[in-house]
Amino acid sequence: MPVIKRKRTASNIECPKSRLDAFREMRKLISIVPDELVVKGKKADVSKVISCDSYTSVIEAWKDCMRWRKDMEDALTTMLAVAISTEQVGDQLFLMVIGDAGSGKTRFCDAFLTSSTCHALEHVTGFHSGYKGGDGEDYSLIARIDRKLLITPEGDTLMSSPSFTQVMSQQRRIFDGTSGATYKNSKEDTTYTGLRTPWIMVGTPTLMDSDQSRLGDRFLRIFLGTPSRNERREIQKRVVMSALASVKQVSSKKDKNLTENAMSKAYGLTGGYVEYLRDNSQELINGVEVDEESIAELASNWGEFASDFRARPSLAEKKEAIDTKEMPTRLTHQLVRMAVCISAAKGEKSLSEDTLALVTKIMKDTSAGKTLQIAEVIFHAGEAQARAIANKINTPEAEVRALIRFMRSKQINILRQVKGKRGGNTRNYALTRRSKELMGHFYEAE
Amino acid sequence: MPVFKKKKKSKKRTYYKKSQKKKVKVPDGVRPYIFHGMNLDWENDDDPKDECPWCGKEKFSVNVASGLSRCLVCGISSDGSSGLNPMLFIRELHSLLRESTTSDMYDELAESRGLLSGESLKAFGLVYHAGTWLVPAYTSEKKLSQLYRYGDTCYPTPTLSAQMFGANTVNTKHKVLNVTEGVWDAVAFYEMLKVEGLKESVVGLPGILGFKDEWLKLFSKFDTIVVLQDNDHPNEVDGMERGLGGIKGVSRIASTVKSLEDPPEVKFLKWGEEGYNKDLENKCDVRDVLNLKVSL
Repeated sequence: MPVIKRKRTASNIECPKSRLDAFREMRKLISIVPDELVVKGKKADVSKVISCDSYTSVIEAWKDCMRWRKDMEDALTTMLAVAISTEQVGDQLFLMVIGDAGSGKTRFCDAFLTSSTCHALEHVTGFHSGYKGGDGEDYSLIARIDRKLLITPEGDTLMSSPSFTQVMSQQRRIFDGTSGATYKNSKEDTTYTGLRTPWIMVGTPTLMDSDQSRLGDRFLRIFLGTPSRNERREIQKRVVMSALASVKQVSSKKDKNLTENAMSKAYGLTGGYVEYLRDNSQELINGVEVDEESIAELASNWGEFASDFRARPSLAEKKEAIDTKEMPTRLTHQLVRMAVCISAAKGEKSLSEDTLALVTKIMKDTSAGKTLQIAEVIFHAGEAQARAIANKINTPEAEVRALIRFMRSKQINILRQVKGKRGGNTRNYALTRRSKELMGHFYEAE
Repeated sequence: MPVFKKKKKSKKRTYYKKSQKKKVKVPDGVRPYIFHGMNLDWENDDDPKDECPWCGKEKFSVNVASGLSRCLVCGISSDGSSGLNPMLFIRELHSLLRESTTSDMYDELAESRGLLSGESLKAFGLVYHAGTWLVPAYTSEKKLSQLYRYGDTCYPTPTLSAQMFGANTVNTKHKVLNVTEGVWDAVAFYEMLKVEGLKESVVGLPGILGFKDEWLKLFSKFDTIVVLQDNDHPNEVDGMERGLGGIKGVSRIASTVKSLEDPPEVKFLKWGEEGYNKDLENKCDVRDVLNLKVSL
């Protein structure tokens, strides 16, 4: 039997023959663009970004090129959460990622910076400029960075800058979404409102020496912990393999980065996922179901804990101001936002136990410092003397005593003095009932 | 004696006119909504309300500071309680208007624009709203991110960035992507590709000189890019060389595409030896050729 081949009709559109002929004539004019029309040296950034809508793909790509640890996954997830929060209403998320040199944190920053939604903030002297171009255009940095995620890959460099204090005072206003500047040579003041500029600053533990707590520190923190010795050996083996693989490749003249293929893929997927999160932030965040009653208690504890242990005494020798701590409201707000954004970034539909545990880690890292170390020692021991605490946390006794005085103050109310078990003049210190109850939510007694 | 009827002022344009007379800057938060015909008293209210396009109640509220909107009656918002931002608002509005735009309307527009059929306009997603046509534009990921209002030209929704016309019709399995100036040339070319049964895609750019690097995500998926620019002649204004917008656009697109690691081939419409043809009308385009207004 003969096989009848049916001709597939192109379309049901009726087209006059003259139009069809004109179309065919026009197609004959199509030619290759001559070289003189192509401007050489023009760079396109988008080729580095690989389209991605899967959190798991991003993590798997990083696992392929680095010796992966839970700490690194937590840090990357938190950074993605900050990215997705960019245009959401409410307090912005400012994040410090702190880790030892060589821990991989700068790689994460470079990966984020493949996306056009991120802006590298380095060597900044200030956010405002009174200079206007000949066309009246505003040359301020702040005009260019609105709605972008700011990334500072080397926070230590920024800290050592002479304009660091000025920059940090401006960022506190930017956090509130408003910023303004007055110039003596200008008739008008410049004010920016409705700013959305979340900020991720990455650096070594030296960043913690910057005491911004009394000025209302806006940054949350997450640590990349130090790996164990065995883990370090595994990491070094990985690095040896990577070095052997990359030395055999010739670097591309177009791209000045010295990254190998697996790393480039991880960068591209991360940038692509950041763009996916930005494009779909509202749907993803609104898709996270939150049980308001159960989160309210936990979030209040988060805020109170961080507010208590982030407080620091004034450094001035003769000081008039009394010891104070910030209200926990801003911290509670930020940590709740972080929880929802982490869930959304992972593609979850509700706040999982892992997410809540991660936010608790962020809360503890944000509160980290000598006061928390002292409180932890006392929590596990029940009560302790200043000398014993100083030995335990490897800090001079005088410094520990000054901190204990601070923590015992009425406004801070974390510690109280108790009579030593030996009696006599020995002074022990214990947690107040409030602090003990609060710490009991997040620590297990030994 | 003739009776003069007092002309009724259109309610919807009031705030535009008031603002234009006083030269008051309309806040960015409400501009997209006012652009699409909402009547919002932002000068006296931080959360002005107007008629909801979905349920018809006067409870559609827009927050002036954040630009988020919601209806307090039907609760229209994207699966949550925080409200619609302008981009989600135009997406929801577009979905609503798709249902109300009829085939007769598409056919009428096609005839007026020198196109073969209203089906192509429907494929490109055009919708009719309050006496005017709205033209959607899409990102490289085929997400609707801009809604132009068609008047003497296509006016973009304020605060949203320019995007490509017809990117929603693109098939990345095709080898060739044709690029035209504007939506009408893109629709006309799309029709002819269908008639000829050619497996090629087409997009329209909102201005040949406004090519954006982010569109390379789509362009990089094809083997060949064909730029179908207008036949722009050079001209002189105050002793300065002007014109040649079409060729400049081709140069910009080709230079950007060629900077990719594995760039597609770039072709263009060679009207004449220098890229334009002085014997053909200045600024003539693809549709002029197909409608036989110019003869090649």
